[in-house]
Amino acid sequence: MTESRVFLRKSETNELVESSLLDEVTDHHLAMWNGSWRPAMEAYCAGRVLRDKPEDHHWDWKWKANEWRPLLGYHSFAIVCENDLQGLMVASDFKSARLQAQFGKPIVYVEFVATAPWNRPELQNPPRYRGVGTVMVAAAVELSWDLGYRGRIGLHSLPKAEPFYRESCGMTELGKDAAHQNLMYYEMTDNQAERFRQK
Amino acid sequence: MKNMKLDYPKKWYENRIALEGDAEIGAGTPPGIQAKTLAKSNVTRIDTRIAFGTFVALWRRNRGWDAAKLAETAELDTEEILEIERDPHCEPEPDAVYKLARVFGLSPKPLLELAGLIEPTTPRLREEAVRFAARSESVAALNDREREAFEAFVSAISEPA
Amino acid sequence: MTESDKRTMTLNLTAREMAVLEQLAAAKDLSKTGVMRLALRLLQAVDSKIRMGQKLMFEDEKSKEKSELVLI
Repeated sequence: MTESRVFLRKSETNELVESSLLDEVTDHHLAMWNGSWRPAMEAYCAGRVLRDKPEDHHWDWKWKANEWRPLLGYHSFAIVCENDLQGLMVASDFKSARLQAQFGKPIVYVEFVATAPWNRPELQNPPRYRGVGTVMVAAAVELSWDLGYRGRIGLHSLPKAEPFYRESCGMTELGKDAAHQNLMYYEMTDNQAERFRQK
Repeated sequence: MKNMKLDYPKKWYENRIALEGDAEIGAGTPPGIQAKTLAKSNVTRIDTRIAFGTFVALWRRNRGWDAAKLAETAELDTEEILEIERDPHCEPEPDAVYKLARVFGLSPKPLLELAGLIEPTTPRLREEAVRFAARSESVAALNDREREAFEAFVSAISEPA
Repeated sequence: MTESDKRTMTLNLTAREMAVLEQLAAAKDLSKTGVMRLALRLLQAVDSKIRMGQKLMFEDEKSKEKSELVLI
């Protein structure tokens, strides 16, 4: 497991704080998810009807861990800052690009990514930390580079996150995907990845 | 792959995090969740949900299990099991239905339909569910009539759609 | 690729297999090693799904016709 030094912005002080990006979600991270992330999500959801709950409220990271852990083609990432888990991501590396310009070439596909409940303005305003999405996209792009995929990545965005992937990350929108809950599908080309890394 | 190192300067984060702002960032669906079977709208069908609750209760009683034992096996809370069994107004989590389907050895689709989480497409599901709920009562032990109803219902929802 | 504990092996391929490997390397914009590693990860992922009782299906995008690829 490798630890990279990354930064998140802490709302309380408006300063960039040093954080750790780990390229493997361990039992310790899942215990943190179970101990703080999950109860925070449950507390927010209590008494709310389905449409008012966060789109990922039912995701059970612990239960799914054994499915992807033994597989070479899946890569998991955790962000830890000030002793608490701030974000989780699982990506796979054997799916192919759909965008015409890179059709059929392998991409890093973000299977699922989420930030901790206290980092979401919808649940807590101001959020504790900002930047989890940025660090996770950077990790996916970097993994793509390491694999020889030139930074190509793809993902299905939850509806409220579409502006982030389209505008902030500069990815190409390929339309809603009926096979994935009608979620909008996005891809980053090698050129877009290059711009993302430089900005 | 292990040992991936991210090595961007602090300035990069400053610029990039400013672009992220207060945006939501969630993407994807966890592996294992059959995304396309989950409908966007919540279909409330109290009658099938009564059958779903009764089915869960009878399944465990048929095994001689209490709610705690089923909860432990399915990795759910006992309260969640009791809520599913007793409160047809309670909307079960899709994940809970997947976990129960796994324990029951059944396809999740008809159970998601019964739970009112997806539009029903299984033929005669609603009729079977109402007939099953009407023939079953939540008393201590399964009597022969209940067992017969339970087994007939299992075979009805096990048929390929 | 930064993984440190790598192992090296010699791979004997027929001329046809090598031609396919070269063609895939060009199409996928990968080295031949990259293609072999991708194939390994893909096979492991597919195999694990099949072991869990799932099927590998192909769907024709236009007709929506489904066909199963039987691997075992």
